[in-house]
Amino acid sequence: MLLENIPLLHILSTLVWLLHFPLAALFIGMGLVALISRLYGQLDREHHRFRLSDLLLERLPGFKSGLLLLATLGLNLWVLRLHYPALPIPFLYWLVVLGVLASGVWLIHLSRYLFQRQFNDPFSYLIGFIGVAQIAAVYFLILCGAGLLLSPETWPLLGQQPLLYLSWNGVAQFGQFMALVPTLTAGIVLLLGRLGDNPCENFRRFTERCAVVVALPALLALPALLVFGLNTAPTLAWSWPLILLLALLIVLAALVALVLVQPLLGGGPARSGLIASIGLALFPLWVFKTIAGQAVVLTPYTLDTSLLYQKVPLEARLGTASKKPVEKEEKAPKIDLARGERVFKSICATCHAWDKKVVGPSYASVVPKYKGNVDSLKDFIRNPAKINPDYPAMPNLGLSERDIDAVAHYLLSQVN
Amino acid sequence: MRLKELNWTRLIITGIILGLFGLFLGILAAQTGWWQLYAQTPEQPIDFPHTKHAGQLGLACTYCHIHVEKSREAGAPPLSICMGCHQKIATDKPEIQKLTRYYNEKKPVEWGRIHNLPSFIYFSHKRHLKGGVDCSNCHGAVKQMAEVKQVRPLKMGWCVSCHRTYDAPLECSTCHK
Repeated sequence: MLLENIPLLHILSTLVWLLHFPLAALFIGMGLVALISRLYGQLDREHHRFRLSDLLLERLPGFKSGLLLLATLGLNLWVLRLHYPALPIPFLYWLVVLGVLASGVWLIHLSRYLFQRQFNDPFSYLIGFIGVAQIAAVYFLILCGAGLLLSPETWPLLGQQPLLYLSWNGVAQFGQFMALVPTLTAGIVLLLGRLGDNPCENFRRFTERCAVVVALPALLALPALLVFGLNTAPTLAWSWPLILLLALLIVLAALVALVLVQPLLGGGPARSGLIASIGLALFPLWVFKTIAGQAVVLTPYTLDTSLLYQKVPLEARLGTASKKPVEKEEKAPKIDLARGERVFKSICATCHAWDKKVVGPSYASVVPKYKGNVDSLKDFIRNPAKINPDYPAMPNLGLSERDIDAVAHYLLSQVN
Repeated sequence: MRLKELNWTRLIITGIILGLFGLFLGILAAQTGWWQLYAQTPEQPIDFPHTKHAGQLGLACTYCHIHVEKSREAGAPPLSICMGCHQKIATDKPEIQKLTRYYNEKKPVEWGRIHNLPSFIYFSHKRHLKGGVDCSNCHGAVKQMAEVKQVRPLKMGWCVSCHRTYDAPLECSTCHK
């Protein structure tokens, strides 16, 4: 089962992304097309451009949507932090991402306010473009983070090498998002062209041309970006659901592109509803595709934080200090039963139990023979010889003198 | 329909769009084929449970992979190590009987290799273990894997990130002898 390793809360937060990304796309797409359309309108005095810009700005998602955008992003970052404690999401990151997003939304609205008050000066444009750029920059950061979720092995290294945050896969995911934005926006533009009971035919045709200019280059770039994303993801992230979702995205993008160009090729009015619906449907497929990759990678095999690039001294890994000179070892101050118990539980108990035979004989049958003769038991542990033909030879475990002393005393203490 | 009545512009543009998207679908299909043929975990001749040995029993990796601290290759354990315990243990299980047949017939078990480095890479297990790298850093939580698979990219950028973090050598000749 693909999702068995993904916690339920993470799956629920995925559903939040389904709302979040199209909303963010509306802010970026509608804002950008409104600004560019108005700017061109000022240059060539084409009133349709002004009308489209006004309509887009009028219907731009409001402050409540902006708050929803911030809340859903904050919530999802919190869910990630909750489930993947090893994933470094410092307070500064939250502050930057949410702060820049909030100010981006505010700047776009300020620009809208200025345009609606007829302040069509460069300052209003500058504010609008900065707002859009800020929102886009936030999604660049967020989607680079999504790329990071496919390589948990880099998480512990981020503290020392913050540039590892950037990845080609993150760039690909950002590119894919930015290619989906114009598709949805083109759908909105087409719907605006049919607005009202008696829509203007010329304006409708203008929106059809505009939609092609906005969405076609992005749609043509989308399959390349999807394939680029697949190739920059680790092979571990590949799965049949991921590949099928990619194929479906390419097919749907081809369908939108074909429907989109029909009015320009004499194929009748644009099917605005269909284009807007597919433009919207591409987002959940794209989110599911991203989650499909993460579901395969973020497993206990890769995630156990204790396994992520911690340097383990050789002795600690082997549970021994056998490489150290014996003289130093023998300076152990006293009998250390706690240490002996640790060695017993971590090493000896693998093959021996007290009262039954496992791989080797039960302790109850062999340890009493060494009662009062700890040195003999230590000699055997140090250099095990095959004694009983019914059992395989005990391997030399390479324990340190201190461990041998501790475990021998511990075993005899249990017999006493 | 006569040839003259065909809308050639429409046909050509539709063809270009379909061709472009078809091309990328073809690339996707080809890559899926490569993934299926070459990037899958190989089937093993014996169903060896790391979950039992490294997981439940807690055997150290070095208990079976005896060469890992002494040589470049970790290597598969000699069958005599397996038979040390399995002359007595779980001898009724079909996989152990298979193992015993290999041992008695003195045939090597042809394990499928999971972690492959290109032939032009010099990599030494011995050096990495001495440097304090834990097996799981590169192999993941093998003791939890019912079927062992590669969970790290084993790509140059991945190696270099770790070398840089721990001040390991970064000269080209370290890995490209």
